[in-house]
Amino acid sequence: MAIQYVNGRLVRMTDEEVQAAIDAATGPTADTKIPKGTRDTLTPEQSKSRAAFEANAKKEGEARQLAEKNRLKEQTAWAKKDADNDGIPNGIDKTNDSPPPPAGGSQNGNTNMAKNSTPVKDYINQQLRAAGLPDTPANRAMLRKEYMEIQADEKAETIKADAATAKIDKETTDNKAAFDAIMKSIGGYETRAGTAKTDAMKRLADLYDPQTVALGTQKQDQLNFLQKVLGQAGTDINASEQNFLSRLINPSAYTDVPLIDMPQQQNALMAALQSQGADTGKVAEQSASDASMNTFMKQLLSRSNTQYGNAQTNYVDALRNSGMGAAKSGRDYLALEQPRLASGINSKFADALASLNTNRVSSEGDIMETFRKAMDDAASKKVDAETDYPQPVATPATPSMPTYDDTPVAGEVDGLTPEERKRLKKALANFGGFGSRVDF
Amino acid sequence: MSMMDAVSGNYGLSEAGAILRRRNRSIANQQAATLGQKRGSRKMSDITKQYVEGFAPKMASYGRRGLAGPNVKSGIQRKGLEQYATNLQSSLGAETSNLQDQLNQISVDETNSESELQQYINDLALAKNQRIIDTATQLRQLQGY
Repeated sequence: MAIQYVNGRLVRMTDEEVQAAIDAATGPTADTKIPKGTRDTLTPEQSKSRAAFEANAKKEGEARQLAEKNRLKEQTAWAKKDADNDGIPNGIDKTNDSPPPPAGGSQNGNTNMAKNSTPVKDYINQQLRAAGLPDTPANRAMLRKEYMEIQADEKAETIKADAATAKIDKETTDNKAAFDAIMKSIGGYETRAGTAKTDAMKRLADLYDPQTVALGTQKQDQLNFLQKVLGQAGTDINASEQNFLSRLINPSAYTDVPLIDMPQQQNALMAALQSQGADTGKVAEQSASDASMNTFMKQLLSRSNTQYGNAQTNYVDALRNSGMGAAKSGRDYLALEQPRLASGINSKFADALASLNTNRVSSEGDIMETFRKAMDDAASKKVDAETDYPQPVATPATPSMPTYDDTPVAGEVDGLTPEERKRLKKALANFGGFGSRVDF
Repeated sequence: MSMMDAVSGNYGLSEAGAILRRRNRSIANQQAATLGQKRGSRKMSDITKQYVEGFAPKMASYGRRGLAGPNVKSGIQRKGLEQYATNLQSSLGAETSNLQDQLNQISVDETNSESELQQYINDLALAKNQRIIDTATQLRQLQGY
C-alpha cells in the first residue's frame, strides 16, 4: 500500500498497482521492441540521453528487484512464523488451527496458489519482468540459482534465528531456575529472620512482662503497707494520748497536809511559885510567846504547802498540754507524710518501671535492628539476583514468597552451566546467619 | 504488739520502782515521827523533873542567905523563883517547838516525797507518750521513700 502523486492529486494504490505503474513508465517489457535502425537514426545527443535513460532504468530496475526480493523474503519469513496469517506468530498463537501445509506445497500454507505457480517460477517471472531481462534459459537458470541462494540464505537466517531464540530461551530458563532458587533461599531467610524476631520478642516479653506485673504488685503492696503503718501509727498515738491523759495524776500531795501546832506544856512549878508569893505573869508570857511561835510556824508551812500544790497543779497542766500537743503534732506529721510517702512510692516505682521499659525498648530496638539488617540483606540479595539473573518484564521484580519453606538448596541445579552454578552457589552462601549453608 | 505495749514495760518498771522507794521512805518517816515524838516527850519530862527536883535546893539557898524563912519573903527570892519558873517554861517551850518542827518537817518531807512521786509518774507518762509518738512518726520502714 502506497500513496502516489497522479495527475496532480494523491491516490492510494496497492503494491501491485504501484509496480504496474513503474513497469509502464520505465521498464521495457518482453513485448517492447525497438525498431531496427531506429538507434542508428538517433542523434548523438539522443543516443546519450537514451543511454542515460537506460542506465537510470537499469538502476531503478535493480532497486525494484532488490525491494521485491526483500519483500518476498520478509513475506516468506513471516509466512513461516504466522501460518494462519493472522498477525500472531506461531510460537505464541494458540488459535492457530490451520492445517499444516501440504508436503511440497506453499511454505506459507497458501493453498489457493495455482498448481503451475510455484514460488521459484513466480520469482523468475517477476525478476525477468522487473529487470527487463530476456526470458532465456540462461537467465532463468541464473534467477533460479539466485532464488535458491536467497532461499538458502533465508533458511540459514532462520536456523540462525532459531538457534538464537533457543539460546535465549535456554538462558531465560537457566536464569529463571537460578533466580527462583535464590528467591526461594531468600524467602527462607526472611521467614527464619521473622521467626527469630518473633522468638526474641517473646523471650523479651517473658522476661519483662512478669517484672512489670511484679512492679505494679510491689507498688500496691508498698502503698497498702504505708496505709497500714500510718493507720497503726495514728492508732498508737491516739491510744497513747488517751492513756497519758487517763494516767496523769492530779497533784494531791500538798492537799490536807497534817501539820501539828503543839500546845505549851503545863509548868509544874506554878503552884509552888504562887505559894511563895511570886508572880506567874512572866511564865504565862513565855508560854504564850512559844505558842504563838509554834502557830506561826504551822501557818507558814501550811501556806508553803498551798504554794507547792499550786505549782504542782500548774506543772501537771503543762504536762497535759505538752502530751496533747505532742499527740496533735504526731497526727499532723502523719497526715503530711502520707501524701509525700505515697508520692515517693509512686515516683520510685515509676522510675523503676521507666527503667525497665527503657531496657525493654532498647532490647526490642536491637532485635528490630537485627531484623531490619536481615531484611535489608535479603532485599540487597534480591537486587543482586535480579541483576545477575534478569527476568522477563512480566516476572514480578520482587516476588512474594511467604510460602517458601526453608529447605536448603543443595546439590545440582539442572540447566545451569558450571559457571552459572558456581555463581549461584556463591550467591546463596553469602546470605546472613539465618540461612542454611550450602555445601560445596 | 503495738508500739505502746513495747514501750510501756520499761516505764511501768520505773514507776513501780519509784512507788516502792516512796513507800520505804514513808515508812521511815513514820518511824522518825514516832521516835521523835517519844524522844520529845521524854525530854520534856526530864526537863520538868530536873526543874522540880532543883526547886528545893533553890529555896534552901535563899534560906541560907536569910532571904527566905518562915516569916521572910524577900523580893530577891520572889524574883529568883519567877526566873526559875520562867526558865522551866522556856525550856519546855523550846523543846515543844523542836518537837513540832521535827514532826512538821517529817510531814513536809512526806508531802514532798508524795509530790515527787506524783511528778515522777506524770513525767514518766509524758515521756512514754512522747516516745510512742516519736516511734510512731519515725516510720523507719518507709524511710526509703
